[in-house]
Amino acid sequence: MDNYDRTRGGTDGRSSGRRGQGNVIKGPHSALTDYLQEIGVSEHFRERRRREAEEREAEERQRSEAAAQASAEGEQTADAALAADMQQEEISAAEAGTSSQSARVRTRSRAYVPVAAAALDPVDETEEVVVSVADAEADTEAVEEQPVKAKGKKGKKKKKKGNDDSDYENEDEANYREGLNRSSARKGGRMKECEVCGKRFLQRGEHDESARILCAMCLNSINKAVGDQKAVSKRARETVTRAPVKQKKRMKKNAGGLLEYEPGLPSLQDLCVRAIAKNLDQVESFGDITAQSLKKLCRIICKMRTLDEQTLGLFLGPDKSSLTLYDCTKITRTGIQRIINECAHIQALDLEYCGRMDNTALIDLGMNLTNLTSLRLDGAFLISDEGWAALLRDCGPRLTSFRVRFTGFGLVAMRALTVHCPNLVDLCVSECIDFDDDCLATLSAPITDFEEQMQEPERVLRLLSDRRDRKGKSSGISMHPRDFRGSIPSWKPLSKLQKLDLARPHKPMSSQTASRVIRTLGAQLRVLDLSGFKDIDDLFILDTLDAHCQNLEELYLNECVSITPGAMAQFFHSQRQKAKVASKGYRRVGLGRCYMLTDSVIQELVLHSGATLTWLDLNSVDDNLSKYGLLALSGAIYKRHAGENDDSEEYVLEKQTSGCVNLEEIDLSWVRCTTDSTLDLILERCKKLETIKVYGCPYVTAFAPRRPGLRYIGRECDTL
Amino acid sequence: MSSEAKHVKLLSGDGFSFILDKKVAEQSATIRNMLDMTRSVSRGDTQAASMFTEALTNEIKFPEIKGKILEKLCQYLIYKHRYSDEESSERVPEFDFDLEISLELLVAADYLDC
Repeated sequence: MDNYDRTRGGTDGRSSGRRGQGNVIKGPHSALTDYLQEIGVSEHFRERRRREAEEREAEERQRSEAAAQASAEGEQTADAALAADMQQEEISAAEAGTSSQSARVRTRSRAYVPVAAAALDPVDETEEVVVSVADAEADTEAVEEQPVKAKGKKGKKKKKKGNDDSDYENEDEANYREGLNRSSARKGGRMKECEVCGKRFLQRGEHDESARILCAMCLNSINKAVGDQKAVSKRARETVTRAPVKQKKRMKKNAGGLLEYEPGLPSLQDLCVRAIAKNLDQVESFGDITAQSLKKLCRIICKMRTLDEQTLGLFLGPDKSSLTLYDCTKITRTGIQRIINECAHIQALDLEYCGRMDNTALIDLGMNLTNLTSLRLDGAFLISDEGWAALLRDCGPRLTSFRVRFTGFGLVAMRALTVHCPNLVDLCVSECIDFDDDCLATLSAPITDFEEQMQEPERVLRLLSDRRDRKGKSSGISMHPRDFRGSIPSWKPLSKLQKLDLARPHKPMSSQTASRVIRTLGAQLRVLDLSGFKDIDDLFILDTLDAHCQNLEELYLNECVSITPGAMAQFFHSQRQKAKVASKGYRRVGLGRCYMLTDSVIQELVLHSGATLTWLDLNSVDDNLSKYGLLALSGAIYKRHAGENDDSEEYVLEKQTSGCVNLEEIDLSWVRCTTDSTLDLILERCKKLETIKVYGCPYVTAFAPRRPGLRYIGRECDTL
Repeated sequence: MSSEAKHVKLLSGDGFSFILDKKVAEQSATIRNMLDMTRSVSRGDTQAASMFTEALTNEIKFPEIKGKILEKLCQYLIYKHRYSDEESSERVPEFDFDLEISLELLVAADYLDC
C-alpha cells in the first residue's frame, strides 16, 4: 500500500492525503505486529506517510491558489472554469484511483465533465449543473465565485474522502448486518413444540405468552373451526402486536472465549478477577490471594495480552514454588532475569509463547534455578538443538518433567536427554521440526551403525558442525569433546519414564522405530500419546502395543490413520482379555480423526474400559460410525444382523452393560450421527458427563437434553 | 423455633450486621454448609447430628471480612438470586463494584465460594 501511495504522489503530485490522517480503526494485533510496533517499525512508516501527505497537501493548496489567481486575472472565464473543473476532475480521478471503493466518486466526476464542457448530457447532480451554467454565462461574479465554490466542493469532497474508508465500511457493515438479520438463521425465533400435534416449529416474532403454542398448520385448522371471522381478527391482532416489535436476537456472548464462558451468571470471584485484570496498571501487588485465583488472573491477563515486564512482577515472589505464564510474548531477557532473581527457588516453570527466549536465556535459567525439576516451554522457536543439549547437560539429572513444543529439539538434544536425564518421569516433545525418526530411535537401544556412532561425542560434534555449515549460522554455543566427560556412556533406557508424549511430529515416524521404543519403555508407561503417527500400522498396535503396554491409563492415537478399524477393535478386545486379570481400564482415550473407526471399536472400548473412562475424543470419527456405535457409551451393545434383503440391516440389542458411568467429557464433533435422542440415552447412563463438544453436529439442537452442570460446546443453535 | 427462621444474620468483623433471606444467603456454598441442618456424621453405627452452631442461631460471624466488603457480598448474593433465572440475556445488568475493594472482595468471595 505504501508503495502504491508513493507512486501516486509522484505522478500527479496531488492527493487527498487521507492516509496521513489518523486511521483510528484497528484490527486485532498479531504478536509480530506488536513486536514491530515496539521496535518502532510502524512508527517509521507512519511518520513517512504523514510527511508525504503533508507535502502533497501543501502542493495542492499552492496549485489551487494559483488557479484562483489565474482566473481572477481576467482570463476567459469558461476556460478558467474548464481548467478548474479539469483540475477537480483530475483530483477526483486521482482520488478515485486510490481505492476501488471510490467508484461512486469517479462516476460522478465523469458525468460532470461533459456538462462542464457543453452541458449536454442530462445529469442528476443539479448543483453542479447550476455551477456550470453559471460559468457558461461568463458572469464576473461567477468567476469570482467559481474557484471558491470549486474549493468548497473540493473541501467537501475531501472531507468525505477523509473518512470515506470508515463511512463505506460502516455502510457495508450495516448492509451486511441487515442481510444477516433478514436471513432466517439470525432472525432468531424460538423452537417450540406444538401443543396439538407435537411437532417442532420455529416461532417467529413476539408471541403472546398466554396464547397457546401452535404450529402454523394446527393454528390454521383451529382457526377454521372457530370461524373465519375470529381468525381474521386474531390474525389482525397478531400483526398489530408483531409489527412494532423487533425482537433482538439473543446472542450468547461467546466472543469472550470459552475461558470465560460459563453458563449462568458469573461468580463474584470471576467478576473480581476480570475487574482486576482490566485495571492491572493500578494494582501494585495482589497480596494474599489464593493460588487458584492467581492462576485464573494470570490466564485472563495473558489472554488479554497485557503480561509484560511491568505486570510480570505481580506474579513473582520468593515463596513461589511454581510459576506459570501463559503468554511470554513480551517477556525479554530482563524478564527472564527477574524470574531468576525473584523466584530462585521455583521447582516448576511453565512458560507459553516464549518466542523471545533464546539459547543464552535458557541456559541462564538452567544454571540458576537450582531447584528446578519440572520445565515446560511452549513455542520457544529461537532455541536450537544445541541450546537444549546444553540445558540438559546442566540440569538434566534433576529434571523429572520435561515438556517442549514448537522448538528446535533434534538429535543432539535427544542424545543429551537420554544420557543426562535418567530421572525423567514425564517427557513431551511435540511438534518439533527437527524431531525425526532418528531422534525417536534414541529412546531405544541402538541397533544400526548410525545409531551406534551417535553414541560417540566426536560424531555428534561433527554432525553439529555439519549442520552449522549448512545453515551458515552459529548458535553461540560451543561444544567440546570434554563436555562429554569420560568415556562414551553406554546407552541406558529412561527407566523412570511414565508419560511419553510425542504427539504430532512434523517428520514421518516409522512403525518399526515406534515399535522398538514401545518394546523398550512400554511396560512402565502410564500415559502414551502417539497422535499424528500416521505410519504406525496394525502390526504395531497388535504386536507391540498390545503385548508391552499393560499399565496404560491414557492412550492417545489421534490421527493414526494407518491403523485399520478391525485392528483397533481387536486391540481393545485383546486388552480386555488381559485386563480381566488386572481389572484396569483407560481413563482417557483419544481417537480423534481416526476417520474410519467402526461401531465395534467403540463397543470394544466401552467393554474394556467403560467403568474407568472419564474423557473420550471421537472428533471426526464419522465415516463408518452409526448411532448404535455411540449408544455403546450408554452401555447398550448392539449387534448388526443382515436383514432378509441384502440392503436392509437391523440392529439387535445384544447386551446391556453399565456403560461409561464415569465419563466427564466427550468430544463428538463432526460425528454426524450424534442426535438429541442419542445424547438423551447416553446422558441417562453417564451421570457425570459435564462437557460435550458437538461442533459440526447438525442434529444436536436446542432440544438436546439438558441438566444442571452440563454444557454443550459448539452447538449450532448457540452460535448461529 | 429459630432453626426454621427464614432469615440469617451476617456479622462483619467491624460490627456491621446484615440480615438476608436464607435462600439468598445459601447461594454461597460456605454459608449453605454452615446452615445445613441435616449435617450428620456417622460414628460407628449411630448417626449423630453434627450441625454447626450457626445453623441453630442463624447468625454467622465473619471476623475477617470488613463491613464494606460484606455489604457488597450481600448485594452480589441478592443480584445473583434476582437474575439467576435469566441466564445471559441482555436484561441482566452488570454487577458493579469499586476497583479498590476488588482484591479484598476476591479473597472474601473465594472464602464464601460464590
